[in-house]
Amino acid sequence: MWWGGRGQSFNITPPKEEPEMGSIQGSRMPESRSNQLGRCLASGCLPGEQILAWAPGVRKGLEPELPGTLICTNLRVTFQPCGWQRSQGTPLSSEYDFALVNIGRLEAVSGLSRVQLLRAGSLLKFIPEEILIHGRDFRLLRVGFEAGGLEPQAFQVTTTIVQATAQSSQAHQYSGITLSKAGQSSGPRKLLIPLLETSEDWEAERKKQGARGWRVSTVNDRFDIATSLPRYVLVPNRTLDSEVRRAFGHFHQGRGPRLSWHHPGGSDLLRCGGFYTASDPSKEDIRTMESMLQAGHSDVVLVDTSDELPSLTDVQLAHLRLRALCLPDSSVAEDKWLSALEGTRWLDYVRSCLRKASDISVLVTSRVRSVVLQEHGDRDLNGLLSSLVQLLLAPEARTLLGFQSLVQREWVAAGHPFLTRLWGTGANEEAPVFLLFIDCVWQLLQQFPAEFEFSEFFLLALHDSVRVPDTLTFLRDSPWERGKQSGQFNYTQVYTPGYPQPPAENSINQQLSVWDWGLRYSNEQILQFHNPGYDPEHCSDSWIPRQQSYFMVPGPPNSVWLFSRGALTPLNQLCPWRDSLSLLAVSSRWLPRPAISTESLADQEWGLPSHWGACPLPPGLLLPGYLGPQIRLWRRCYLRGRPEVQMGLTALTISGLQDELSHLQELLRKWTPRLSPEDHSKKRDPNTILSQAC
Amino acid sequence: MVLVVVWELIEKPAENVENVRLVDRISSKKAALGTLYLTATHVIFVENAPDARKETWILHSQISTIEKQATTATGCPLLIRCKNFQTVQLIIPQERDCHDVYISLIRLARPVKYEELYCFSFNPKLDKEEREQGWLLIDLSEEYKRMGLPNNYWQLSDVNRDYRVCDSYPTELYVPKSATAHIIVGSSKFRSRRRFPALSYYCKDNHASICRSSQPLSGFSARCLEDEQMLQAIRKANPESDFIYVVDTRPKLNAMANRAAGKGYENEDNYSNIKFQFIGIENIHVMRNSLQKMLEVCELKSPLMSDFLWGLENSGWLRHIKAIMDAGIFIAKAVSEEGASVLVHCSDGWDRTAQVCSVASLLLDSHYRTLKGFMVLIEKDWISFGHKFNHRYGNLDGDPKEISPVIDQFIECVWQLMEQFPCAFEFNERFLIHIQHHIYSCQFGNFLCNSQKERRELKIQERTYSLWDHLWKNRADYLNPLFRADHSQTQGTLHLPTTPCNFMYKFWSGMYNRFEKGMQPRQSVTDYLMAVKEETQQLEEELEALEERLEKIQKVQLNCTKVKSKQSEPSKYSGFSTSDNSTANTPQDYSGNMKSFPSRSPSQGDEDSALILTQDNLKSSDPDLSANSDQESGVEDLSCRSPSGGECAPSEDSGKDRDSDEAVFLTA
Repeated sequence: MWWGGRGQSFNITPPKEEPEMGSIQGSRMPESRSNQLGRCLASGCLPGEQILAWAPGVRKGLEPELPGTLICTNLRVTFQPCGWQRSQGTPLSSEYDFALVNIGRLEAVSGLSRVQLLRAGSLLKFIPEEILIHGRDFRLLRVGFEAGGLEPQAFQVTTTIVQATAQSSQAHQYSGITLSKAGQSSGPRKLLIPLLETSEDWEAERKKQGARGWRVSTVNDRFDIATSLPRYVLVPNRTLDSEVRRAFGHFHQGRGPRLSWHHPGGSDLLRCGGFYTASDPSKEDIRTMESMLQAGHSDVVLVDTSDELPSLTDVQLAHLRLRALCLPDSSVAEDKWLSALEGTRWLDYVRSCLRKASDISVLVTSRVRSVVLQEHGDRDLNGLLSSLVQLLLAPEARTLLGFQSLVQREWVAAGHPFLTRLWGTGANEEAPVFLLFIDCVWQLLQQFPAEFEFSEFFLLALHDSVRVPDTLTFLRDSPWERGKQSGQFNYTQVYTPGYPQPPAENSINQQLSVWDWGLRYSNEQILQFHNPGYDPEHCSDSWIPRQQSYFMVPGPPNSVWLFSRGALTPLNQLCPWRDSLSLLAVSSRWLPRPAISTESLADQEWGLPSHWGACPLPPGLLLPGYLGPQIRLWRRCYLRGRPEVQMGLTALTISGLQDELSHLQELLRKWTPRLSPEDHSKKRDPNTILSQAC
Repeated sequence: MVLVVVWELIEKPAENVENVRLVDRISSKKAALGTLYLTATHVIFVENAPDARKETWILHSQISTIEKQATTATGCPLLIRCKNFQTVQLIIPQERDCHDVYISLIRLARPVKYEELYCFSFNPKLDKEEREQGWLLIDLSEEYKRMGLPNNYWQLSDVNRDYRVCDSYPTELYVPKSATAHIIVGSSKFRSRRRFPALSYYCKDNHASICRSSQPLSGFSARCLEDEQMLQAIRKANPESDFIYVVDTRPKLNAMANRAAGKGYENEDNYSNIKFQFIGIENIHVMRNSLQKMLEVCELKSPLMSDFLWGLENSGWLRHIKAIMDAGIFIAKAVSEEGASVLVHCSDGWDRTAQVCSVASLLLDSHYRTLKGFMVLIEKDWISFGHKFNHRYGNLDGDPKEISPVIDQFIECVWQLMEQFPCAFEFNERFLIHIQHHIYSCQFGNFLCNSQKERRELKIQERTYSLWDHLWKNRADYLNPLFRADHSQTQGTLHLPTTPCNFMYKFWSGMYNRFEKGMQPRQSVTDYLMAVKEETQQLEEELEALEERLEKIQKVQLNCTKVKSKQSEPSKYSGFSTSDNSTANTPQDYSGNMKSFPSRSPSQGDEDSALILTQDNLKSSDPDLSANSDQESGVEDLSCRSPSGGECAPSEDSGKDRDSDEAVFLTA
């Protein structure tokens, strides 16, 4: 199993600035219970973690109400229910832990009317009867305190949480949990998510895609072309490393054209940054750039990925509004809920992303061509669209393993600035583009419930992961920074939890990644990552290599297109510089923009409304619906703080039936061998029946 | 297959119109070319495409509006909107043809006599006995027995025998034992349309009850001793409570306005021990307009997020749904938590009262959340208590102001509840959709007329078939795979939060956009679950069979060892071998069933009466066809091939291929 080993021990590197609250601990705690309880609590601590304060309380809001203890440490706030034991193998809890950095809003409540919003430096004005902790991940922890002598503790734990939250607001100080040497478990065979930190990983990826015209270039091996790029990139076979180096220099921040995905029908999906118009490339460089963009095809489509999509500011604003709207006390009048939801613009952004991805996947499948996703920075919408397109086109990407690899490749390795976008490093460039992407994937899951191996629960886990500072995956902006953190660059090639480490690396602590779900999820929870409605048989049927280039014809020679506003416009040339002053050339390069086409590209190409989903679609292609009524609000995620809305959402699911089924199969299998052999001659072997049926 | 069409009823024998275009709602470029047929019961469009003759069938009774639009270069567009939310746009090349079709359809869609309705010609080839049996499936006297009635407090009253007191009420009514005929008749004279308080639901656990009536004729000051006694009697029938709630489901302003007309609401000073409560559900006109607005949103060609959300909000539809739910929740709480009886009324007590009583019953009693129980509920609170089906759903040509989606709203309330309690209902969404469809289709007699009295006069049960029987026979299609009879959620009262938020209620795409295939998820989780469940059942049976066999084998072995010295008795072995044969059949049955599963994809359920028609024809292709058809003259052979062997509803065929493909792989 791929989700990390059991029985490992974990080390945690505490924040650089050691919180100075250790003195609080113990000194004011009631002695009577603290010893015994303290030991008990401490057993759940990570190395380097300190308990700062705690108080008995009752978790409210969710059914059933749970008595337990509210604990604040220097890393997290956790509610530990009575009798609940933290499993050794799962040091963090997805359910009861709130990382301090995740805390978005704190409220103390006393009586019916006294509510105090607690900010950094706030002084608590009363003894709280209840504390409300709003997570930035839309979760809500509501704990009511016991009366009867323990009020000082309630007061103290609340104050401590305010202080601890204030001190931990800087996410970049975290360096994640590392796997200690001791972590050696001999679990079952593990499926691996290639972290794409080695050329072997990239080579394997290239082979898997069947990208014959491409090679792994080590030109960025020392991150000297671009620190935001991975060390290895896929470039056309015929392009020399020296050419790659020069060509990449003419793109914004050195992010030149690289292969994202090779379609089995022959098309290539590329991504690159904007042309660095201030540079002055030689004719030879331009030729190289053009041939890299063409990637051996006669038909090239440049897709301006920021066109018609929200800007970073838009995304951030929409997400903030969405969060405000989903707060339990949001002031929106009930009958204005829908327009308020519309006012967040979030769903509209989801919609536009799906539409664009749908169009691009039509571009990729309708002809054999090179489709180049171009975004000025190449680190946000390019990743979002490239991943969505692959989800729509490649059944492989819809598996659990494939999807995680996809995120690792198009987001983590491709240098999506997670730290800046999600944690806000003060540069005002915070924008949860990745969360927008997860919402898009959730929409696809709603529309095609049998096409995805992963479940909504998995998406929720991924969604929540970005707010837990346990691994470096989402705590750094680029592979370079992640590599810097772990000390050196030639670490293990493929991350293998619990795998005996080569002696040379014995000294380094193994870095964990977000894909080590065992950190926060129990085995039972991880089982729920699987969508029981998924049917891989179906996919293999429709996705066999021999169907390659079934109908895909190459486009007309030397055609260069710009895809914009839902339509293709011919371009005079690929690069903006040739023959003339750059500025002038740039303007003449862009032909007048066509009006927004109301018909989808699929309709234009194949004469069918895209959402109709009728017959002649290329195998494997999913065309998502993106009309207003088709985009839904992800209630199970965004409305988690409002338990009254969650009715029905947590009820028995598909997986319950799956369990039942497997239980029966198990029983049947147990019975089968006990049948006498003569029966087998007379009837079919139940095992074959089963294998046919399942 | 042969399609039998009766042309007699069409005044002008409208020849088939050829070269008609069926416009795709989203993409104007894509229009299917085909032939339009008008039959006595259906409008049928058959696509010309050589490989797949796709068909769209529309029952005349489903047609809500027909709109002839301005002629264009391509022809004359005709827009048909249906009561089941299907919208079809046809382009007919010749203006004259278009006009003919238009005139014919206007006539056909607005029958003036009950006899013209489809149910009187619809014949599912059941014999008389089967038909009668079908009508017996749902029996209200059984239902009252199930509630524990009659008992010490409640009795069956014959006061309305021959509809002497109230012609819109049923003859069999339960009233408090202490309410004498004098009191009842007196009370009825003080109530609109003489709809006196009568029992709707009785909770045997705590003796609390839900009663229903129309508004009192109180005006500004009028009183009626008998009516006051009637309410007292209801209170006394629940000895554990010292008051009753009187719930007026109208907005207070509306109720007050009624006082000027000599109607109104109960004055708390005159009635002792009542607690009076308004719950503002708007009237049928507001609801009709609200639905209209929502449907306009649904009709948008390519709605943006803002079009959709703003439009939905401005229609107010979900707000109205919430109001009905709130009323139901209030009553359910009063009954289950306070143990208090409730008297519910609106103006006439046949629209909002029916909605609210049935929602409350559904919340209170898990029986109504089963397939059969739900049929009983509709039979009780809607059909028997005189909900005006004919007026509300425009079965016969009538006053358009009387039309309003009252039961549609109730059905949606049930769906909203199903979304919140997915394990609590035995039936699935399809069940609701099909009931909604047949309320308008007039294919079965259940929903005809405005009252029990009218139905009896028309001898509906002798001349038509019962929908309940039809649904019950096909119940496998309507089961909710998540239903858990033993789940805590499922038993007893469904508990909703005190003030459910507006956004708990969602837009029901499966109903209002159900003909927009593209709007629906491409794969149905429900169908997948049903497949898994079926498989589970098969495995269970297999397991049982294996266990049985094992037992037998062990017995035989035991016997063998016992009789080893003797010669084995042949009889034992023969017995064994027969049982072996029977189990050997299991795997074959099994695989057979699995194969048949894909036909039950949502697009292929019997969505449309057309299915029944085609199935009918399937059967009627045997020789006794002429014997059964009494309208043989004027019969024309349309020789429409029903699509894919008559297994799917033709009206929803577009884009079906892919869906059914997807259904197939589920079994792979």
